[in-house]
Amino acid sequence: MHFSIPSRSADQTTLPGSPSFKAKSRASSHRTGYAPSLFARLCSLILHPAPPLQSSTKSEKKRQSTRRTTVSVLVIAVFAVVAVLLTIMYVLFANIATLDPTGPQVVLVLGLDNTKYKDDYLAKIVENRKEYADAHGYGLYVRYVSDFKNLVHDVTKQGWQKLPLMRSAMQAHPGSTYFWYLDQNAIIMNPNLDIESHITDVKRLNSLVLRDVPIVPPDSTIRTYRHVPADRMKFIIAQDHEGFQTGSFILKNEEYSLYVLDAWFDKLYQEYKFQKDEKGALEHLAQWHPTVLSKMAIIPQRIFNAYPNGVGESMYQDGDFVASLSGCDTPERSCLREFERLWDNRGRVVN
Amino acid sequence: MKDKDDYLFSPASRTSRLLNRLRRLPTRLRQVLLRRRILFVLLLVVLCYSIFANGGVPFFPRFPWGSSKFVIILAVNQGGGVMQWKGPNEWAVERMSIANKKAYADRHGYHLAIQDMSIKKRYAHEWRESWEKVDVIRQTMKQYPKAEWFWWLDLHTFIMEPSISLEKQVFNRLDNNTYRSLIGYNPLNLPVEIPFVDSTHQINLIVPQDCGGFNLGSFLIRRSEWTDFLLDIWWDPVFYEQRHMQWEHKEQDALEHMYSNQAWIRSGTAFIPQRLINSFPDGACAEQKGDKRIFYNQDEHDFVVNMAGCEWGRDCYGEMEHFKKLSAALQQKSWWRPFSK
Repeated sequence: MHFSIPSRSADQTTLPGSPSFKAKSRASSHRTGYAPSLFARLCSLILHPAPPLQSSTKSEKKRQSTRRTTVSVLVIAVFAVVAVLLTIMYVLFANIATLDPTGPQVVLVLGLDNTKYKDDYLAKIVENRKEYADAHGYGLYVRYVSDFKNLVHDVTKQGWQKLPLMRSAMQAHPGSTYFWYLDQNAIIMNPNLDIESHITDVKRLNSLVLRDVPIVPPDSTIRTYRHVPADRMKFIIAQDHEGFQTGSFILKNEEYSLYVLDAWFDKLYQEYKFQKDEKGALEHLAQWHPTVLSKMAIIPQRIFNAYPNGVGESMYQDGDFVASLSGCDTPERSCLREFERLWDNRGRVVN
Repeated sequence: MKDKDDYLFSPASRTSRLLNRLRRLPTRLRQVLLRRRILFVLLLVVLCYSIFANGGVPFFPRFPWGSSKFVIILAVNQGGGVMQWKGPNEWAVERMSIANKKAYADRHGYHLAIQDMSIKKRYAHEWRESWEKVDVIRQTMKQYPKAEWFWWLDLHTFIMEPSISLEKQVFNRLDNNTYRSLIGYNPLNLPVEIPFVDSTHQINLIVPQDCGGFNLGSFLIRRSEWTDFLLDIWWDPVFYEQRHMQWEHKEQDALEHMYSNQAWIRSGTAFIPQRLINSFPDGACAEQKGDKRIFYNQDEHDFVVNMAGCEWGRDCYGEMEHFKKLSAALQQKSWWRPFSK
């Protein structure tokens, strides 16, 4: 028997998708004498949108063919539209946190001691911070340190109070990224510098981080890491010639910071009577717990905690960001005199 | 009679012949199925048992449903026979415990990490001898980098209901099965509220409380950054130096101290009712006899028994034998349990 199909070619190497191949299947199934199974029909439908076997006339075949093609085109179109919509939604909403951060990016944290210092002095300090924060759109969190005296083990050790203060600031501003604690006895001398470009920007931080320096100068065994990249650093602090200088430090708003603040403030550390109080406790933490040290960045002191009467690297120079008066309540120095001198020489915001 | 002319073209190429056969396959399959209906139904039944029965049916090939998301850490060889002689009873107890956990892990597709807790006696007194729980957990987390939850089990524990998976017992309804506040049950009288706790934090540590405080004989810990911090800070020389004389239960007491003092620990810790993963036999917590929250209840099919403290004054071997027999009897009575996933 011969089937005369017009477009048939006698080419023996015909590939499966070609018209002659499909004609063959139709022929063979037709000859076995029963309707092809559902599976076979589905297969043939997928392989080529041919009209089904039951249609007899040519026009009917054509109509069914066009109807089938329109249906399949519609289905594909619907899927395409849905896919495009989903992609758009994903792109829009996947980064929703960075699209709309709530609250200021940087918060300055200030603790005031109104038991030892006069109100007009405190007012000047607050004014200095406020001027800086307003100029750059930062937040300012000010509390009296006596608010936290119930949490601290020994109220005479002033240094510990900054830890619950920072914790409280982080709780109050959950949407902010950086929290900068600056001691009350410090003045922002150059308010034109902003925190991001001066300190926290990744490239800038990478250039500032001191690698392979001893945690406790001059020669403690544990030293800072050499290869940890700056984008993983979440705790930025400076060292003076004695050790960590906790008068000025920056914490990033992450799980790590809550852990460090809470562990640092633990009752057993406060009761242990470290020689340098909370500075000693931090040095202990950094030396014994690599999860703390691995995310700490030690930067040069002059960046944000210079000493006006310091020596060498730590000495304050004109144009430096912050001048710190820490340690001024010893007999040989006078807090008031030093403050007046710095206050009059401070830089103002240039618009 | 088929001859060459019956085909539209002679399928000389191999691919076309192969495709020819493939196209006829579905119809052939259907023919076979129609003819051998009974065999097909039997095969279907076997397949269902293999997939859905949770391992309770012997001799059937089984697809393990469980995920390698869970690792059971079994602490064996406590002391290693250094301070006390390990006689045949101790060896038998160890064998029974290991076999029980192995069967359970195989049944549910969990990993089992058997960790040796022998005393190394290479450290000086001040350096955390028998505080190795923390190091062992850290080491196991490194060994199973893809696992999420780690279930620590002491040696003197027995899984009484092996058909219950961890998902069903704890994790499917994690927020309902655990509680975060000490208001309802505070056997240690820890401070109920401390400042700065975040109650919406992810749960990373699930700990049962017994009559005397936290019980670390059977607890769950999740792989996370929080856990890395906890495992690092758990042992600290300053804490140890000041308190190790008072901290009889070592890591347990250290954790209780940190829970009372550090808010970030409270944020990530949840408690689980003791009888969900850590029921006690009648000998433990004897002062609280009759307390429904503590003791193993076979009518309610408690999951795990922890024979805590059996090595001081009680008979570990006797208790283990008793619970092993009890468990076998309970499994026989409830044959339908393999299907209640």
